[in-house]
Amino acid sequence: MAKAYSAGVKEYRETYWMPEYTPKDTDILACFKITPQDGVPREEVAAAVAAESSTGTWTTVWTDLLTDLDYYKGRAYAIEDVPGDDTCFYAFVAYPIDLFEEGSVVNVLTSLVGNVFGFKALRALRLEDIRFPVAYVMTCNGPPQGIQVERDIMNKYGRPMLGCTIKPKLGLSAKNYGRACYEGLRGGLDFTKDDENVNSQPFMRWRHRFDFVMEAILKAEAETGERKGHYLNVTAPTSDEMMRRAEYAKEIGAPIIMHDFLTGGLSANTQLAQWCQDNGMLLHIHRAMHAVLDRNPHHGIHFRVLTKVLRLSGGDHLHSGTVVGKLEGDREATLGWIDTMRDSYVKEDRSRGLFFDQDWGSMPGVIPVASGGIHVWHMPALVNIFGDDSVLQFGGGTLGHPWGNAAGAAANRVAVEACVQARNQGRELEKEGKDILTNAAKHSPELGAAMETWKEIKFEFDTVDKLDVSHK
Amino acid sequence: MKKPKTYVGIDNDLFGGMTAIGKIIRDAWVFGLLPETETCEGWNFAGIDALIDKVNAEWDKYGCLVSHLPDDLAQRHRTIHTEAVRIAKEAGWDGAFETDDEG
Amino acid sequence: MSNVQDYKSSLSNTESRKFETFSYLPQMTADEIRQQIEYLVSKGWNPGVEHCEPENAFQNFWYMWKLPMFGETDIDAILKECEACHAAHPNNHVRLLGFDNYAQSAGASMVIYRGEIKY
Repeated sequence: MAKAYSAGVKEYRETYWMPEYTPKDTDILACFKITPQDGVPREEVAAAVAAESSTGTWTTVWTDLLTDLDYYKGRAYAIEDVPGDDTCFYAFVAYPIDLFEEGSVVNVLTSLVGNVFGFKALRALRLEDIRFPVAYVMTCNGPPQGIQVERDIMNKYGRPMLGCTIKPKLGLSAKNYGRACYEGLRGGLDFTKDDENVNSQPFMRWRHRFDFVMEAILKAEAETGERKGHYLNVTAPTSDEMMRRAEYAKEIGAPIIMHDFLTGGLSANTQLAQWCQDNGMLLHIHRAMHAVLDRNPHHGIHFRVLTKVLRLSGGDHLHSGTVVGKLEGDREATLGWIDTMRDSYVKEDRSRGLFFDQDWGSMPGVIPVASGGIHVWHMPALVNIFGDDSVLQFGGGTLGHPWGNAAGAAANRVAVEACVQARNQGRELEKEGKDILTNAAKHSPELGAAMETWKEIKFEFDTVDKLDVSHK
Repeated sequence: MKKPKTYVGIDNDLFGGMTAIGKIIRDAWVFGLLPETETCEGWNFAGIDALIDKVNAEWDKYGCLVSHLPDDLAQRHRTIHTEAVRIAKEAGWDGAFETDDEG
Repeated sequence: MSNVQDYKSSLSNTESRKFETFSYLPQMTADEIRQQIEYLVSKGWNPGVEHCEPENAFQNFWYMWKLPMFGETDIDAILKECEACHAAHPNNHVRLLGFDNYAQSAGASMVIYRGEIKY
């Protein structure tokens, strides 16, 4: 029997708050951290969020009765306290899978976070986590190659890979830029990297850079007998231009390119990832602009959501933070999203900020990239925390070596190999780190000089966004 | 600050020359391409660029690695670069300066 | 026009050749090799031995020494095969791999005997 029409603003709670609802396996689930305006009941706000991110409008309109609202609506099904913070609470919302176009993280984000964040009943809103049903995961492209295929392409097994961002960002001619890459690769790095804002500025046009860098890669490979790569940045003003640069990179034989997925945009990123898959190209992803979204603990989008979105859109590497460097989030949260990048099934674990079980089916994993302020003394901790399936990037930690780039690269390569060897032997890396490095330096003057340049580190840092796990 | 048209000289450079250009000049001393008294003060950047090419050609002979240098050059490298690090540290340099600006 | 560097002088420096994991550390002692085998076995990986002439080492596919030792956990047996391969091909690189069935990749791969590099 058709429902009668009754105009006017309904309370959201009536329609969208459903605590008795059991989420389906095919639902997309979201966890929001809601900071409400004073005086608004929790269920009402949670319901409003569910409505405004799905089928709701601010009043009942007659067209509601033409659609099966019940089928399509978002359902707020649970509310939880945030431990240690009375100003906000968690709301869990379930969305039917048919709300979303297949294979489109763009559509999912537009729906979930497109309209609701400016809503008046909210003081602040943060998307903490999303559970993508495996039914939806399977409609998505995913990483172009994945971890195992990348290892096969680069012929690197049993250790983390090493990289370095080439600096100074501005002012190096393409020829000298290529030389800087050559020295880094020659010294023992696996990858060198375009800086994220090096696109095609007047001081160095992209084609020249690509040409000189490719020459550097081939030369370093011929001399060392090891596979090398440089992340050529194809981020561009339009996706047409981005594709042109990607095609050129393939033409000259580059094994890997890079894209800034947030500023470049998810639509461009997904397109690029699909092309990379079709063309056997590895894709390194930089997260420039992420802090705009994830730094405030009450408002925005948590980085773990960005990692999930990226894995679905497609990328083989993603910057994940270093844990041991300064300004980083705490270890547990980072380990949580690193697992989210790499593993095929990640269980709910609130101590690591994981709000849902996440099944990735057989979608390949993304390699976490640790980059920012790290140097040789961090190596034992990095190997311990990140494991072999990672890329460790030392920018200043390579180029700042007093003897030059190649020496910096060699120091890092010897350090990582010594740590891996020691780990395999069963030694405790973080306890015996100094010993392990000192011993390795006996055969490597480059490492010795690096250990004198940087100071042994103690891990003491205050994080901006700690996990809310401790109750008051 | 206006960008200089000529090089200030290694002893007037940051931390006594703990910069990319400073390292090139020191390597030029090691390989005998310049006398150790030459600070390159007043050189224009084309001259520095040409020096870079010459230094690179020398390093290519040894695979860019210090540990591949023959004993006499390794000795010179050790002496010259140890002194440079000493000067830099006295001027307040350490590794943190190289990595602190990274986010 | 790019200023092409003089390739010959570096390519002829055979010290430059590396072969991935552990090649930046000194050649492993017998004890150290044994410890790596223990690690590989402790991870549940299948050991395999391969070898190759140094000048062809850049290729993906090296010659297999017999077949991978599926399920082999006896450290001495594995070590014996490594040594036998080395004895039979003294001029070649010999590498030890650990095949990980779950990751469908090699969890470990290291050159344990270094052949003489002429090119």
